[in-house]
Amino acid sequence: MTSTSTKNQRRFFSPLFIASAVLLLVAGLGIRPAISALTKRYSKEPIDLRLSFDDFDPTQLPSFRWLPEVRGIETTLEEIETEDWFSYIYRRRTPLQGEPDLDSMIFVTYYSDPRAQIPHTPEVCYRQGGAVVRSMRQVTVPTPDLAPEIQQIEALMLHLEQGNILRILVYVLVCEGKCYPSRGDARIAIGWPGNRYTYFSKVEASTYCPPGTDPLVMEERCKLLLSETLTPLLKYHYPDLDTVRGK
Amino acid sequence: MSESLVSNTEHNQRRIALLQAGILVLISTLLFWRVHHYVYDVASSVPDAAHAFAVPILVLILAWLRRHDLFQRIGRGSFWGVVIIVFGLFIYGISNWPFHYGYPDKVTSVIVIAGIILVTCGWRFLFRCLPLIFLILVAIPTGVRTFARLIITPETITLEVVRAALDLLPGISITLDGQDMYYLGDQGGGVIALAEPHRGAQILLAYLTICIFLTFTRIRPIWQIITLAILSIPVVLFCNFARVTLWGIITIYGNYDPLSGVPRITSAILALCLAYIIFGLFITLINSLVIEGGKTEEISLSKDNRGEQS
Repeated sequence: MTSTSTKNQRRFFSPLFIASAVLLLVAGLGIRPAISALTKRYSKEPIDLRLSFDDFDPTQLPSFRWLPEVRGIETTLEEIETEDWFSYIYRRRTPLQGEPDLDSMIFVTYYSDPRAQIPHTPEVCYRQGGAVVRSMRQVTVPTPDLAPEIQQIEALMLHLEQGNILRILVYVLVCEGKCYPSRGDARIAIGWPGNRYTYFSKVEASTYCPPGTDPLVMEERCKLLLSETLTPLLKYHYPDLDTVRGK
Repeated sequence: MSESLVSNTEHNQRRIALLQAGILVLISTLLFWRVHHYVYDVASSVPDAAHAFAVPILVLILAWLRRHDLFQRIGRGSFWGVVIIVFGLFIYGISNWPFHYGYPDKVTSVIVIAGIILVTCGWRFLFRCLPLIFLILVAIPTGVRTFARLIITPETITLEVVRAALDLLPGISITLDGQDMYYLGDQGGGVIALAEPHRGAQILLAYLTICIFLTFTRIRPIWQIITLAILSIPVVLFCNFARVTLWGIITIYGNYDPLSGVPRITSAILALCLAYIIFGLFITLINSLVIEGGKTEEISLSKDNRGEQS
């Protein structure tokens, strides 16, 4: 009887069980305080824009003419939960053959919160406003003005339908000096340790595609508008990389 | 006498293994009580996650239904369980720092439970517990923004198909503006499911939970599980379509206010019943078609048990 009981005790207190119990106990008591300490010690810090978006010169885009009389998106900082933003309406200086002379919009927001989750991206956000997402794909946008550092970027191209109107929209998330086409990629970049400061910015360019127009033509226009807007943003507005790294 | 002694010792070993598993799960709640709290909070407030309340009951029912088989399969614990626990804890850690991911952070509780089962009861027991673990996994709500992005395509297609279906109703004309569905009939017009979040793709995981539960009420060969898993996708999509269509029909013919809860709740309950009936019919069909296969499975199980005992 005693022997069976001893055997049972031995089985119960097996090395595997003891190791697992100790591991879980240590994790249960230690992981949360460790995470808090690490967050406190190594958490990235918010950083302001180098040059405020109020100082963005809307006339500097080489291929687009700013329409000051037409307002872009009308919203508030609180409504879009951002720290800074701007929205301008443009027309092509010299439209290409077969390209309708329609308004195009640029909409830029800026955030600098290390615990930010990145708010809804356009494919979710515009649906809440009644748009239907007809297609969504990753595209390459050439950025010759940012070469050789950045020769091209990956962005997300959306076709949104509202009523009978097709809207073409391309957007990119700029995070700590690099461009990302998806929210997931940008979240990894925000969390990735190394830099002292963090920020992210959403840059979206959009236009309408009237019936009978080749959507590819309007996609190219959006890509060009995105590329030309990114140049001054990265060169003059977003914090420079050395500052972000804490050098 | 000696056979009964051996059997008694095995019985004791298995009971000890279960006790060890229970203790380790209890210790793990030191770390994961936040997860349980979060799941409870979300399930109380978000219809898409309400099925989480049913999951513990369904898991207990499944465990009870296969209790004999489970008990027979308890074997020696494996060192790999510790590796899985460490992996789960590592994912938990990096989901909280330096990254901030809500969903992986919650899923790690299930990974750790799988590790605990392996450490205490062995591979064969863990394999038989996979359906239960999968049910628990389905109960963990995905992040709001991630979910909103994932359902774009099913929601868009469902709303368009429902619009076409409701348009066939006599004297009723339906228009879709984004996610808002407007109807116009002889009695007047109105809106269906105005301002409901995810109105075209709600409670998908609740239908899936029903499919998983019904599939694993019996121990099945892998090919049946794969067939039923494939069948569960159209069932989930059809039930979602049925829910929105019923919502529309109830709103139109019941003259309900667009913000009324009656069409929403009634259509959700009817769609859940429909999921149970349709998937139940599929399972009955498979069972009746493959009686011979079922017998083979029973035989192979008995052989396994004999092998384990000898």
